[in-house]
Amino acid sequence: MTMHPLKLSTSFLSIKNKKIEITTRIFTDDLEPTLRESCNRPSVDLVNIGYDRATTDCAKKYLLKNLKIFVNGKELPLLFKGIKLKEDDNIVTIVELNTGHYHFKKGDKITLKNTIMFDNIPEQKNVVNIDAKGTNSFDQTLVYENSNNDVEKSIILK
Amino acid sequence: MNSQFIEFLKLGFGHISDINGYDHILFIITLCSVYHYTEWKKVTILVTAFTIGHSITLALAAMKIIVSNAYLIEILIPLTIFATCLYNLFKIKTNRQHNSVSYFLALGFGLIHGLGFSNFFNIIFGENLQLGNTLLAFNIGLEIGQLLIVGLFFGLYLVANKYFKVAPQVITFGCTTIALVLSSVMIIQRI
Repeated sequence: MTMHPLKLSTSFLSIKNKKIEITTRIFTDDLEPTLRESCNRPSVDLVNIGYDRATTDCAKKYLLKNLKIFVNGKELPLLFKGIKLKEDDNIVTIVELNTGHYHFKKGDKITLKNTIMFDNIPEQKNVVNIDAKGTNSFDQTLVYENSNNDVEKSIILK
Repeated sequence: MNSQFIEFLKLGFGHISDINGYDHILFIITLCSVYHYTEWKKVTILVTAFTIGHSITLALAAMKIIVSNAYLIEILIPLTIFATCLYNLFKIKTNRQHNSVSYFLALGFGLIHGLGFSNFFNIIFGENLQLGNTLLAFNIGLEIGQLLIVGLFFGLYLVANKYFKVAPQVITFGCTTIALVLSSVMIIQRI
């Protein structure tokens, strides 16, 4: 089935409790061939087998390579919390990541690298909605377009 | 205007004018192709009717007042193109004058396209985003894209008609035939 192609991922990044938390939603049918290729594992089958251990490791490696956080130019490593298929359908995969504790302050420059699927899908767009104050109000949006070669984007904490 | 507003505006614009997913472009061109470029008042009413239609369902679906089946909508969208083609052919064959049927088609089919836009919007949109601003920005982006498509179409129409002496009937018939074939392929692919 070919739909109007929606080549995008959506992330929600919030800074709360001295941590950056990221939830990313990716289309499973885009991620599957990407993982097969990136880990050289043709057996990856997200819909029928799901995220078994080997596939989870592969996804972890891929996502940590393509999602990175820098604070004032220095990398703040992301920890991979988990990956799953959305409960009510297999169309979307949900990934959760967070950083360790960090004392964020006003004027800090937070840079997010987001190149998910850029290696495989030329028209990929990655949308990141940001809640910088930890108030559950995602009032900033960054859009990474593969066609514009948007690898990194930054915000300044107010 | 803050940067979030602009980003959602660009996402709306990018969605309707996405050449890889040309279903909305094809519908707008099919709808316009029975009009001559001098009939801009009628085209304005037509495009406004489509806008009203898709804005209603986009807003209702974004507010979760109506829920639609994404697969069904993806099949219904090329069906709206197919049906518009049949109506165009009927108009050509019977040599009928324009009447308000076209406006109602644009309005009614706009409702279906709006549900298609909402599927895209809801994927980007999070529960905690401010709906009002982002929805408005996304919809304005769609409108700008739509106006650009209409403008480009009639620009090419003018060039073809005035400088290459292509008859209006040929343009209408040509566009409708191409749209008929493409929408049939889309329906088969999406079932």
